[in-house]
Amino acid sequence: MIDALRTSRIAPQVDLHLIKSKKFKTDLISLYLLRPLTMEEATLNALLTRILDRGTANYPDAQVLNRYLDDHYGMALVSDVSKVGERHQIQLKVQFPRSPIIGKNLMADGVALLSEMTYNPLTADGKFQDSIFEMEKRQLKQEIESRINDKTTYAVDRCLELMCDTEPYRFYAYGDVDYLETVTNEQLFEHYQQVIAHSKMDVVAIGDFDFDEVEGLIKEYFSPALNEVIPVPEERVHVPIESLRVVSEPMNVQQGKLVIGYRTYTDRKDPAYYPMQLFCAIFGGMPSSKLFMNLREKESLCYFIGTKIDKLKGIMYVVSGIDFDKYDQANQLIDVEFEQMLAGNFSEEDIDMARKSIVSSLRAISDYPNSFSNFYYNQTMLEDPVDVEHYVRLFESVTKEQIVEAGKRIQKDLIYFLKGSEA
Amino acid sequence: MMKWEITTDQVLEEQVYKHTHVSGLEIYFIPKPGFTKKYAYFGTRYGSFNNCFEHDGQEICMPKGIAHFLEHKIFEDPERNIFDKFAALGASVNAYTSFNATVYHFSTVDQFDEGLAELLRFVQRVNLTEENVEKEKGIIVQELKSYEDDPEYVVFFNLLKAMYEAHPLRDDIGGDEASVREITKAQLEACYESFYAPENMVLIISGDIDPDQLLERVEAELTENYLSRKTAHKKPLPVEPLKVANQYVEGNFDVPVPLFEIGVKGHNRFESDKALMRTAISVKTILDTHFGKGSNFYKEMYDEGLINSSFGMDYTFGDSYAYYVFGGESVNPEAVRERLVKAVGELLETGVDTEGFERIRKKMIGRLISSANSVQYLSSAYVSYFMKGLDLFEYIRSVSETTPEEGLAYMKDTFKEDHIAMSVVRQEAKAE
Repeated sequence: MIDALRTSRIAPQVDLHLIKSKKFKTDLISLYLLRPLTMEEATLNALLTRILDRGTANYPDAQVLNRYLDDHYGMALVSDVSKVGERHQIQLKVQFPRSPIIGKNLMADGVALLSEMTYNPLTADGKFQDSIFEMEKRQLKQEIESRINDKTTYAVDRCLELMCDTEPYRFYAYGDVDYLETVTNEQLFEHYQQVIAHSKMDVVAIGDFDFDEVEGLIKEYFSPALNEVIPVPEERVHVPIESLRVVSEPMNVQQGKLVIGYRTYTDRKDPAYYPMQLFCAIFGGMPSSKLFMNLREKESLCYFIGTKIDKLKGIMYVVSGIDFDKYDQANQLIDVEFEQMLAGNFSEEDIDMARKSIVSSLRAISDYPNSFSNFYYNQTMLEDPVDVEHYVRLFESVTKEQIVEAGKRIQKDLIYFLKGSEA
Repeated sequence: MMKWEITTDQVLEEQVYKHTHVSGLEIYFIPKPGFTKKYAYFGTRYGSFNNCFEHDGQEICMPKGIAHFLEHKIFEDPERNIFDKFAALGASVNAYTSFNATVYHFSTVDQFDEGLAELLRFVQRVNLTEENVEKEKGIIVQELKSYEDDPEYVVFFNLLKAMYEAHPLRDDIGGDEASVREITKAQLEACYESFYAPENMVLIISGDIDPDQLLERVEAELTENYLSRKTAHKKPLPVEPLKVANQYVEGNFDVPVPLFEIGVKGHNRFESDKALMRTAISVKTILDTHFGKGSNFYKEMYDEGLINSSFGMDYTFGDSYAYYVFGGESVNPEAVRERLVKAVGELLETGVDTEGFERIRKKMIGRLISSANSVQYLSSAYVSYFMKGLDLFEYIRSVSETTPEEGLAYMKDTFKEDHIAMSVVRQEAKAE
């Protein structure tokens, strides 16, 4: 339950969104900085966010900062990046409890700390502290290389990377190791100044607080001078496919990871967007889906199989873990289920289940402060409506014919298989 | 007339309603007004630890992984797939098997009553055929293989195997391919009849739900067959020495940075549950004070590049075991182990940093309050404490009461060189 909302422009490039929900025992303040997705941006932004929470001018090392957080009832800081569609976001957040047993309101301290992390980093000689820069550069390199530890996620990333080999979508959210090696402290500090001065900024605050009090605090701490904002291009959804590509890569795994990438050629302004989401859900987006029922329950080929769709980029993929020698059979069965979908061999009840599943997820977003904050920000960033019920109505009006028609647009682009190293 | 007994937690400002049904089934309700999603957990105190028990007057032992296998098969329905039934309500259903429990749960925004009835119905019966038991084996083998590809899973379960020599903590919850292939319909039925009985089970509900009539609705779904079942006598777990079985175990994966878990075996002999909880919280607080992000140890090790932000620690316990664990990624796990043991030695000698202890206590209280934002967290944590024989709210109360002395005394008793094992996952050493 959301009790009240207020949006205002507090500076030429800063919007503030206040969300009141009495049910929460915490307040969460999130600062979003929107950036274009390039290999350089992803790498620099990722490194930057890892340095910003290592210390600030007033809390000059991680130990001092962490003790301050512990002392403020486990106040939590987030300093990270994420890839949303074909854009890059820097997210700086602070969350703290609000409770009578604490005996004090942590809001002013929380906002001050978020501002400190954003505007007052730990510097020496006009750049970040060398020791911290070198350490975090090394740590980020390890973090990027450790992607391969989660084989399924790695296989999905590889499939999309290969599929979009000429589009910005291919870039990993944390950037590229080779480029990272070349980054200097001076260069990163210059990038930091550029980010602070030229990014569109949004502050989302969610909790049970007084709007005027929080607006006053945010205005005091987040009011940068007027600057030109860096343009962030929209996703390219309509990328033609020449022919189906098939890639397999060896790795020391016990189970093969199969990922199939498809293009839906449907952006969120397209009327086919809603039927497309339902197509994806019926095909593989829930445990009652065609893929789950047939490849797992009927054929016992796998433990997990599912589909996901990137709503901004319009890319759908199927992912599953199978025995190496079941590659052909799994591919063939997935194709059969896809064809069945196009032939309309699914019921009104399947549609109903898919619709309920999507509607239920949409309505539950407001139960989680962080999810709701991200949802709210992304909707406003895209200039889309924020009212969940608006989407519920659109999903409810979709017909079976529209789902079949949407499905006909889908083209299979790339099959990726992470196979055993002996195979 | 069925009545709730209500208790309130002052820290979380939450309430829990309790009712024990005449059959012995315990029912809990945690109200969360204003939240959209509602949750229910229906669980039995039966997990991978309970492989040996008394059946028809005889002691029998089952193949490893059978509790988890049974969890899969409960979803079998002769008329309609259980996932479909819940999906038709807009709800999603799932289950998990742990060392000491098997828990079935669903969540939904709408039609909670229908979902609850469905949950109670499908767990109260099982539909096994030779064919559907065989068919499940392929699915479970793929599930086990997916864990084998996860280095974090492997490094942790290797640690348990190194630490424990007799206790079933050393066995994978799902068993292995051979034990799974061995499981029969008759064995699954014996396990079902022995443990899916009311006095061995619990129902926990949470969300924006009216508690009036809730008990009546639950009772209406309890079948005669279910209510007549009696729980089998569980065989006591083997006595486990505090000395570890192996001090070192290594697995090979293509990981860029080695993963490590250092485990230290403790005991869980306490005079009361209260003492157990107070000690556990005191130990956790001491560990965070001296080895967590605000500690000198963490700062030195991080600055030297021996640990990264994945470094973490905990003290874990169940009703038959307890251990400390420190883990993360390190280019030199052996050096981390050495420095850690040295630092603990110093701590045991010089005593706890009491100012730091109070700081971490504040952090724990704040984090607990924050976690009560999540209906899912509250209800699932309630379930997991229940399965250990403990009450979550009492546990939380102990956070304000415990003292550094309680944990320190326990650490002096248990933190000893031959109680320590280390598990490492790293790239295979290349032949020179």
